[in-house]
Amino acid sequence: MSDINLTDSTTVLATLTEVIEEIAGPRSVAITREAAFDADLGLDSLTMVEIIVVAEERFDIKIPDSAFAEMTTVGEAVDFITESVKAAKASA
Amino acid sequence: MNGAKILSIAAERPAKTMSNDELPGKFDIDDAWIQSRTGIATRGVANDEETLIEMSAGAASKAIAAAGIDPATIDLTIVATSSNPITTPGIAPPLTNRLSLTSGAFDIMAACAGFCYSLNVAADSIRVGSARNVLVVGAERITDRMDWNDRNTCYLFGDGAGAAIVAATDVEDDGIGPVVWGSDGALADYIAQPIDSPYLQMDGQAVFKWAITEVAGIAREACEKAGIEPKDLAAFVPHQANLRIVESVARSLGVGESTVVADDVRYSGNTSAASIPLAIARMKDEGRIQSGDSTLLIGFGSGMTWASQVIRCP
Repeated sequence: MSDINLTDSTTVLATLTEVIEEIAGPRSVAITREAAFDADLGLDSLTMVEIIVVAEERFDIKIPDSAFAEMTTVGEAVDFITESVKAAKASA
Repeated sequence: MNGAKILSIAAERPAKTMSNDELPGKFDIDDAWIQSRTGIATRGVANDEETLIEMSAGAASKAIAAAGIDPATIDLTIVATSSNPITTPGIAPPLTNRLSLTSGAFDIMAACAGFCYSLNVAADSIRVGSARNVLVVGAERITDRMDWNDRNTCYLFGDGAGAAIVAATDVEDDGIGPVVWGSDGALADYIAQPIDSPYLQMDGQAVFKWAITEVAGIAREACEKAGIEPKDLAAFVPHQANLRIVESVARSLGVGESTVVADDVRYSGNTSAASIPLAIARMKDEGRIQSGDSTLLIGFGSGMTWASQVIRCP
């Protein structure tokens, strides 16, 4: 894991953006907090699974299927990841 | 102690190839949707005459001819299959009879990992001296177990058979690397045919996540045991479940730019235990791999089961 501050949601958004583009390639629309994975970014369910698997590795957290199922926008994913990273650091 | 090596690999594909547009179910999914999610454009669908035994015999006869051995010297026949229509006997005994052999004969049921399991059992039987020449077959008629109206599975599977001749050689000439195999029976319901159902059922998303999380690590361990870096592999032949899994695993594993990655799933769909020999046969037919090439195999599937080894391509 890198030493960047992953408890900061702006940094989480930047890192998640990298992961999305690494898996799915550059997107034609900006990857903002408001962007919906499916409707705006055109990411199908299998691509989302790939993104979640790489995100779990990159952020060193687990994203349960139940949480994943409720994430429809980039912002929702960023918030979940930010909270998970904070919780993991607090318990470390 | 002997060594073991693969002398030949051959394929028997159904006469009928079905395109995505020809799938019998009525859905809101089309060819573009299926290809973008699975890479599958067509699959072979066996007819009534193309039984498991007949397809196995077709592949086996070609493998025997290519190996240039006297069939009478085959002293063990192993068939990997999960689609035998009857519970007993297995496919291997009637197959040996069909080939006019009387070798030892048994089936291995390790689903999509079955061919790699069988290859290792064959190699070990040769190494300890229990057999000299072994016929290994992976054969499936998965479409018999398919619900053509199941939106989750109807476009995934296909039929076919692949066969290999594994033979004794000098220890220094051993061409089948150490196996890495295992299972996780806690995940048995990921891919299963319930007792009250005529159809195979699968939690596709769970299997996809498992595969892209776990398979590269297993494959890397097989490379380590064989003493080869993934980037130095001439070819990578993972079970042909879904092209998206194949590409993701190849990326995670870190195969080289010149490593040829199998893609038979595009044409054959997921043929379970037959997928690895069918993929190798296509790559050889197309001249994409050559005799002697270091080739990483990994089978994985229902169970969950997995097995992986580096072989020298026949």
